[in-house]
Amino acid sequence: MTLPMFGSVSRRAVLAGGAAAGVLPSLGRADERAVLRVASPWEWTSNEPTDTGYLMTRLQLAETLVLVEPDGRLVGGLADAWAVDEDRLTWRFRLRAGVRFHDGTPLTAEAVITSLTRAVAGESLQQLPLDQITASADGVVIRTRTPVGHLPALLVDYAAVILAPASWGSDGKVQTVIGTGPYRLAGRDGQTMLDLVRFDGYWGSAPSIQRVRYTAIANGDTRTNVAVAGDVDVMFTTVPAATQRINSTGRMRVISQTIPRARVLAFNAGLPQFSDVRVRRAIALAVDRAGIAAAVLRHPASAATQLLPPAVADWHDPTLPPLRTDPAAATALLEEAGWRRGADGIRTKDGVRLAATVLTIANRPELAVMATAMQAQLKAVGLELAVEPVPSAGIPQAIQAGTMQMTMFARTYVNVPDPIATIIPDFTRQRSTWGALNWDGRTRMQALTDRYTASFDDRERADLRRQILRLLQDEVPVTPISWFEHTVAVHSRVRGLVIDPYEMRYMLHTLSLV
Amino acid sequence: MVWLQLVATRLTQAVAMALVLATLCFGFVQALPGDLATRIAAARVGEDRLTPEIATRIRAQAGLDQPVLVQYGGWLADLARGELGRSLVTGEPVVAEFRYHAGHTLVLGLLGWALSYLIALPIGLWAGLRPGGWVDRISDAAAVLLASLPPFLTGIALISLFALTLTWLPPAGFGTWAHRVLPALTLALGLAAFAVPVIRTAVVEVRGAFYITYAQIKGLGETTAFRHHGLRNAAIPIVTYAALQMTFVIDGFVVIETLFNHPGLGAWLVKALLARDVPVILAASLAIGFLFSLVSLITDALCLALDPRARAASVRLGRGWSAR
Repeated sequence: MTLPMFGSVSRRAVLAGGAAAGVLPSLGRADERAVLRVASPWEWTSNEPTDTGYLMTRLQLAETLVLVEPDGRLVGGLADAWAVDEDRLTWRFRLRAGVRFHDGTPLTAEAVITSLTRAVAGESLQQLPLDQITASADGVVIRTRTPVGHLPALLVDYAAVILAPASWGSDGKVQTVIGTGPYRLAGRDGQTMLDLVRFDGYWGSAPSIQRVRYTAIANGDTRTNVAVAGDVDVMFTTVPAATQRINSTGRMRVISQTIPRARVLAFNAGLPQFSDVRVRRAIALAVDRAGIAAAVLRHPASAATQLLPPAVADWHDPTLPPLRTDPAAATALLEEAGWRRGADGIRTKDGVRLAATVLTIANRPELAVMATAMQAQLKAVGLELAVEPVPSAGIPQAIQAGTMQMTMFARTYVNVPDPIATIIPDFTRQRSTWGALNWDGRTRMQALTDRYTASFDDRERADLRRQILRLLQDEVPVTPISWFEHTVAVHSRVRGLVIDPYEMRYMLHTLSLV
Repeated sequence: MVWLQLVATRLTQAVAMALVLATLCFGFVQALPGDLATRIAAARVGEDRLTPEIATRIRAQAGLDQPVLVQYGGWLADLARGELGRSLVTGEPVVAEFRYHAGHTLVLGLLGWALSYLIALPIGLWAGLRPGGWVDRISDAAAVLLASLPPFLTGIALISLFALTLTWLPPAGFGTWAHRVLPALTLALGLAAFAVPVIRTAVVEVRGAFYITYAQIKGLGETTAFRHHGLRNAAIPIVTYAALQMTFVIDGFVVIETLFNHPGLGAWLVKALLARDVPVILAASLAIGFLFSLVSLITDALCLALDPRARAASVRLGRGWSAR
């Protein structure tokens, strides 16, 4: 007796099948095979869209007015059309007709206003200079105080999901997530297990799979074990080092795609070591990205050539001279900048030693290994690097305390589909948490981003994007080391997997089971 | 009277111990390096969206900008009203979260603990009744090996064999009995490794006791003598040890629950500590304090029930039961 869903000895299925009734009491064993088992590291920490909205959109429980397709196109979500008035401040969104929430109530302008007002009050959409949101005959009108050309992209932010009025309790907190997505939340067991059921009243085409069970598995080794055992149908964010092990069982196959997330090295440009752009350029030239990508990440194609990978076509400039490794050129730049080698090989200038401690984020273990690899590469050109892994909160703390010298972290540039929303906070402020610190190019960057934000002309915006990318490449407020590979393990019984490089949706609606 | 004294003493100790433990935890959390509000913000919105502004907002909302003594006083006042507050990360009432995670831990803990004695009792008794025999020698070697292995290694070995190679059981997760087998077995093997030598020694000691020799002299067979006079005496140290082990189980849970993706108290506490979720840490330390005292109470009660000498001594001395 072999059950195709497990692709292995069925004893586990026999043991688990009957008892699984504890989770989905209405399901028999045969139905259990029709359940799509999805896993990822992310737990359902709260019902608030500002905190856990990314899971609501990824699992397609809730939707935003505007959606992004995996190819980067903005398409209608709960709004099927939008336009901006002559004043460039008034945006009119027409709500899609016939949309119902999972509780059967219709989508209304009031529901949209309630959700959006709370999203803007939260932290995610705080960049939006919102004046007011009002209802119109066929939708909502969003008015901003200053022109924002990329406003539709901002509305893709997961915090801006539209929930039914019944979702909120009297205390203003979300009690139950009642969205409009192709799946509705049928049950939740703690923060780690969710049961989703296809929503038959969905406005779009119905997904093929009726039931989905989502499990959050925070521990990377445990995720690997589950994938090796084939005890899941689709697992998002597998551990890259486990790819070969997972593939070797034949039960699951790991697929990877480069996504707009980068591991970057950032400098405190206010320090004498890094205030000179030539030093930052020298560091960028001394780092062997290809070697690190091949040896540490085991994925040579992930070596960064500029901030964003080709997956974000608008924000990847193929004409930009790529980041390269040239220790001789790095040495020449440091000499030109007046940094002279001491007896121990480390350079000094005006009594300042060319040395720094780089803080890496402990919960991304590859960062410390990459930084350690860079230690030797940078020492060869005369820079002494100490590596200190800290919790993710350690970096903002060091910036606040004024002790940050260098940091290395992973940053997504598509919290919304237009990276400008991340570039503004990262490169136009004196003290950015995940970007430039004390960078003197920030005013030039702000001039460019201000023009970009106010522009509604596609050609002008494309030109500004090129200028922004060039400024980042030339001035090196941070230096990208590698891009991210989004790795997904998929079971042999699953068909139709599509990976969304924007990580907005798991695209469950495209999947089917054989 | 003895029973009443026992319960009153232990309950007073429980309250005092829980409060001291929670206060110490409060102090430790405050003394940990790094900013509380930033850690909480990171756990809540994820590192990509972590900004100093969010941390500032959380600091003000949660009252973390107040002096430490004011925060502690506020927590005590809430506690006096029977309120444990809400998690600073999830916003859920701490009591509800505790109940959920404790339920999972309790089932797994009892299962692992019971399983460990299903393994340890027959082996320990056999080894004690036949010291130096092959069961004694093999179990001794196995106990040393298992006791020296940290629980995660035992867990990984079991997962490799039963989940990845034989594919009989799921490697992680919860919700079905099949999911509980491997974590319970991991726990049970670790506990049994320590319990077998205790049981064996208790049996060996009792078998050599004068009252067994006396029983045999008066004509009882070896087995009958042990059953009538030895078993109850041997049970006293075993019960004490078994109860103490129940509290040590908490240590094991931290590792086992993470490895098996089991949403119990251990995993909950680790997450809360990493996120500096103060109300959860305090509630968990209160609960652990109570649990230790409760187990102590049950142990004393069992020993008292098993050993009439202790009851008599307590009455004679006119004081509550205080030492085993």
